[in-house]
Amino acid sequence: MTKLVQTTVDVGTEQLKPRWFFFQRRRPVDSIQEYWREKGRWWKQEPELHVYRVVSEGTLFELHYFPDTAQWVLHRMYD
Amino acid sequence: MNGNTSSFVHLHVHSPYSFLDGASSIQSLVEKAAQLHMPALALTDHHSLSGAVEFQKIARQHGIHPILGTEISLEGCHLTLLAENTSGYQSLCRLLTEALSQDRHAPNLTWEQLQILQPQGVIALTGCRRSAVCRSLLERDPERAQNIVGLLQDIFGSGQVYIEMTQAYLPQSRYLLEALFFLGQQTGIPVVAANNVHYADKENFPVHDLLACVRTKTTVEDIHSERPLNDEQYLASSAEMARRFHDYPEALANTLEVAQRCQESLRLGQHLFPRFSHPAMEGKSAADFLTALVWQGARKRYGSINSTVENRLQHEMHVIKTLDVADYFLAVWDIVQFAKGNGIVWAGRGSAADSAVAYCLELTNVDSIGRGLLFERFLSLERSQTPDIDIDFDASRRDEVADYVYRRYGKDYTASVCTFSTYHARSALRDFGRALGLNSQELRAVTAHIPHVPADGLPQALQSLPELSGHPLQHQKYQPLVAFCAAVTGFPRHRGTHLGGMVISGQPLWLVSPLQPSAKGVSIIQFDKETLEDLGLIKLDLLSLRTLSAVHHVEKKLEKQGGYEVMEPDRSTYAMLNRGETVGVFQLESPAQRSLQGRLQAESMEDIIASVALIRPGPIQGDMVHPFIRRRRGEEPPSYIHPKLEPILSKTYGVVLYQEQVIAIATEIAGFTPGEADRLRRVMSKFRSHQEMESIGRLFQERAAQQGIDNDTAAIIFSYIQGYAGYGFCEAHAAAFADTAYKTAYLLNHYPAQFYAALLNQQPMGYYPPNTLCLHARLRGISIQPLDIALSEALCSADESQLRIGFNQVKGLEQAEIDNILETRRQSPFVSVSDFVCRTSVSGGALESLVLGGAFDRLRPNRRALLWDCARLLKHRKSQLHLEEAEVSSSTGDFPPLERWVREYKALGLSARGHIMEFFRDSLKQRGAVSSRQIRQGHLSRVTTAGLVIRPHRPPTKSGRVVVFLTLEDEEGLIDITIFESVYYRCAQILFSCPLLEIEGTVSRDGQSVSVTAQQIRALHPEKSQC
Repeated sequence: MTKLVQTTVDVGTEQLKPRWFFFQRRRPVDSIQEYWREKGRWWKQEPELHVYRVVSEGTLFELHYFPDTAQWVLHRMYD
Repeated sequence: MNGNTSSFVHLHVHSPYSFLDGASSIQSLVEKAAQLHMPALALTDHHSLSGAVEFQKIARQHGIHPILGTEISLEGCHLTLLAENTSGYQSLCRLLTEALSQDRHAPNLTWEQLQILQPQGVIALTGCRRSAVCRSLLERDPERAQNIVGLLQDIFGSGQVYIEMTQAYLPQSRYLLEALFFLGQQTGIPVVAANNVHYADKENFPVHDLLACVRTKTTVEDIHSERPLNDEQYLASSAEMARRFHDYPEALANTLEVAQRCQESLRLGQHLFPRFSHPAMEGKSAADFLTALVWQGARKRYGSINSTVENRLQHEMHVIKTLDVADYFLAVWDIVQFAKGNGIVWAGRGSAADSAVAYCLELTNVDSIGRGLLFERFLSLERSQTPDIDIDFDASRRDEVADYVYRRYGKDYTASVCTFSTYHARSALRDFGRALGLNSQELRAVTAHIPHVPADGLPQALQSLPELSGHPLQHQKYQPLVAFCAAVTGFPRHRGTHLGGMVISGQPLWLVSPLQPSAKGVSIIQFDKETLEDLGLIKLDLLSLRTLSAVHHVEKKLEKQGGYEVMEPDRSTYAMLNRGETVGVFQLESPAQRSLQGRLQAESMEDIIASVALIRPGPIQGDMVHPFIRRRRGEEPPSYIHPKLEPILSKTYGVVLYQEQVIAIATEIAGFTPGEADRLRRVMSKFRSHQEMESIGRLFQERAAQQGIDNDTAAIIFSYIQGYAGYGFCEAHAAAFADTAYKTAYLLNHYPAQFYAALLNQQPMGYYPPNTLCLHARLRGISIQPLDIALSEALCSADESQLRIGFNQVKGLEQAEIDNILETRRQSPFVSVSDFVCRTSVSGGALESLVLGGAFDRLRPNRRALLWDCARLLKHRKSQLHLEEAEVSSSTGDFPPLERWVREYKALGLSARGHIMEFFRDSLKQRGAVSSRQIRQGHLSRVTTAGLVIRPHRPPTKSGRVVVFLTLEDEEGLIDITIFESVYYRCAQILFSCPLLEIEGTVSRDGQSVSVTAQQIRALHPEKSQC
C-alpha cells in the first residue's frame, strides 16, 4: 500500500544526503534505497527534482528535494 | 598525450553525427575537454565515423589525444567500441558497413555477424544502460550478464573488454553500479567510468531533449522511453566524475589506461587512388600511357604541334608525373571514353579547363593554350593538392556513367561521396516548433517568409529584415524557440548522397570509411567532400546537367532531320543575345545577365566568357561591371598602372576579372612562381583578419620591390587583387560554361520550339519557371498547344512552329500512369471521360489535375462540372460501367476565366492558354499602366506597370545597403525591377508574399537594357481583373 503525502518536511542532511526527516515525529534515515534526478518540464520552467527513496524504521518513504529552493517534500510513503 | 594531471577521460561521447541526438558540436566538446584539462577524448557516434577527421584535427589543435570509436546496436542493445590502432579502426569500418547494409535506418549486428567479422584491435566497453549487460542486470539476471561479457571477450579478445559504468542519476543507477562492479570482480574484467556524453554543458540539455522529440516524433509533453530524464549526460569534469564514482576509484583510473592504449588509428594524408590499368596500355606505365594519349590528342586538336603547344604539354606532364597523378587523369579519360562510346553527352567544367592535357584528352572543350590559361590554377607543384576534375553529363544518362565506374572498379573500391543535410533556420523552426507542441497553424505562421539563413542567423534576420517586422517570431514567447534553433546551426540532420561526387580507391574503402547504401541503392562513404583529401581519397565529380540533356534531346531530333552544326560566330545568335532575349540560355538568362547582354553587345566568345564571370558577387561588389562595359564599348580607354599588366589584363580591358589574372599578376609583378601565386590567391580568399591580409600585402610588396617595382605602384596593384581574390571566377570554368552557353543560345535562336520543349522536359532547371518558358516561346511566334488527352505525348513535343504540352507537366501524374494512358490510348482512342476512367488506372488526384489542366476540354469543356463528376466516375471504375456523362444543369457554369486560368496553372505549372495579366489589361489601361513591351519599345521615363512576380531576391551589395531585384512578367514579356532600400522598407511585406504587383517607377535605359526603379509598389488584386 502506498499513501500520497505531498507535504513539506524538515530534513537533516550530511554531505547533501538525508539523514533524518520530520514527519509526525523525527525519523532517522536508515538507508537510501534509490536516488535519481529529474529535470522536469523545463519548457514550463518546472524546477529540477531529486528523488530519494529512503527506509526509516522499516518503512519506505519517497522524499523530493528541489535544489532551486532547497525545499524538501515528503511525496509518498509505502506501508 | 600531454602532461596534464586530469584523472579521468570521457570514453563515450556523442556529437551531432549521432543524428538528432548529440547536442554539442565537436568543436564545443573538444573545447570543453581542453578547459577541463583532459588529456584525451573519445568520439563514439551511433553507427558513424563521420566525425572522425574533424574530431581528430580539432582535438590535436587543442592538445587532446583523439580516440576514435562508435556505438553500435548489437541485437538491439548498445555496445561502445573504441579503435585501439589502425586495425581497430578498419575493423570498426567493416562492422559498421555490415550493420548498415542490413538496414541503413535501423542498423544492427547479430552476435553471429560479430563473430564472423572477427574484429581486431578494438576495445569493447560493455555499453550504457541500453546495453545487453545492463539490461540483463536490470532484469536481475547476472548470469546472463556474465555470459555476455564472456562472449565479448571471445570475440574481441582477452584484455580487450572493459565493463562500462555510468552514473547519470537515473532510477536503479546505484544498484546497477554495484552489480556492474561485482560483475567485474567475478569475471576479472576491469571497469571504466563513463558518462554517455551527449552535450558539453548542462545548459545544452533542452536542445538534447528537443532533438530526442524530433527523433521520436513526439512533443515535449509526451512521455517516451528515449526522452532523457535529467541533464546529467554532459561532459562532466574529473572532480564531478570523482564524486559520482567515489566508491569506484579504479573505474576512473582505468579510463586513463584505455586512453593510453588507444593510439592513432586513422592515418591521414595517405594516397589511396588506384593504379590505372587498361588493355591498351600494353605494359606501359600510367605516365607513359598518358603521355602517348596526350600527344595523340594534341595532334587531333591542334593539327601540327608547334613549340608553344609542345612546351606547355611537357610542362603539364612534368607536374602530373611529379605529383604522381597520371592514374587519376587516365581514370577520368576512361570514363569519358565510356560516355563517348555510348553516345552520352559530356562537358568538363571548372579549373580542369586550365589544363591543355585535359583538352587533349577531350575531358574539356576549352583550348587552354589558345586562351593563355594558367595550368597552375588547376594543378601545381607548390600547392601539391590532388586534382579535381568535374564533368557534366546528360542528366538522363549520368547514372549509366556512375554504374560503369562501379562495375569497372568494384563495389568495395568505389562509392559515392555523402552529403549532410544540416539545420538551417526554417528546418530548425519546423522541427523544434513541432517538438514544442506548436500546432500546424502556428508552425506555418512562425516559418512564413523566413529566408534561407543559417539557424543562428535568425535573430539577425528578425532584427534587420523589414519583411519580418511584425513576424510572429518577434513575440517574446518565441524567443526560446529562436535560441534553440540557433544552438543547432549547421548540425547534420541526416546523411544523403552527393549529387555527383564519387571516390575510387586502390584499396578497399572500408580501410578508411564505413560504407552504407543510399536511398537510391548506391554505396556511399560516411565522409563528405570536405574530408576526402585528408583521407587520401580523390573525388571525381560526375555531375548531371539538365542543360546537356536538353541540348542532347534537340540534337537527336535534328539529326533525324538531317543534322545540324553550331556555327560560331553566328551573327543572328549574337544579335539575339544583345537584345537580352536569353530566357532559356545557359548561364545568360538571369535578369542581371539579360541586362548585361543588352549593354555589353557581345561579338565573340571572349565576350560570353567575360559575361559568365562578370555577373558574380565579386565583380558586382567590386564595382567592376560598369568599368568593364564602358571600356568594352570604347567609351573609356583601359589603363594599366604598369606595362607588365597590359598583356595580362588586355583581354578584360584592364579590369581584373579572372583568378588566373590574379596569379599572373602576382607572378609578373612580384616574381612568385605560378604555383606560389595560386597558393597566395587561395590564402587571400580565406583570410581571417586584416592583420593577415596586411602581412600578405607586405610580402607582395617586398617581392615586387625585388622585381624593381616601386612601393606605391606595388601597393596599388596589390589593392586591385586584394578584395578580389576571394571572389574571382576561374577563367577556365567561365570558358567551359561559355561553350555550353553559346550552344544553347544557337539552338534557341535557330530551333526555338524544339529547344523550349526540351527545356520543359528537363524541369526543374534554369532560372525561370515553365510558364515563363511558354511565354517566351509564344513571343517567338511558337503556338503552344494545350494538354490534350488525345494528342499529348509523355513529353512536351515540338515541330518548327508549335509546341504541345506533354503529360509530364501534370502535377501528381506518375510515370507509370503516363505509360498506362499512352498504352491504353494506343489500343483505342478515349471516347469519353468515363471511358478514360474505366480503362486506365490513373489516381483520383492525378485525374483532378488532368481535368484542371484542360486535358479533357475536347470531350467536356466545362471543367467545374467535370470535376464534380470525377468522384462518381471513379466510384464506378471497378464496375467498368461506361457511365453516361452526368447531365450538366444549366446553372452549373464553368469556372470564371481567371479562376480557370489559375487552376490550370496550379495543375500544370503553366498555362497554354495565354497569360494571367491579360485578365487585368483593360483595367490597367484605364489606370494608365503600360505593358512590358511598351516600356521596352517606348520612350517613357515614368511608368506604372504590373505583372506576375518572378524570383524576388536580395543579393549582397558592396555598400551593404539593401537592394531587391525582381522581374515582372506580363503577356508581352519581362521587365526587370530594382527596389532600393527606402521603398523596400515600406513595401517589404508584400514584395515576397504577393504573386501579382503593380509598380510605379522611373525607367532606366542603357543600350538595349531596360529596367524600372520602383517608387511605389502595390499588390494587384483579382478584384481589379476584368473577370
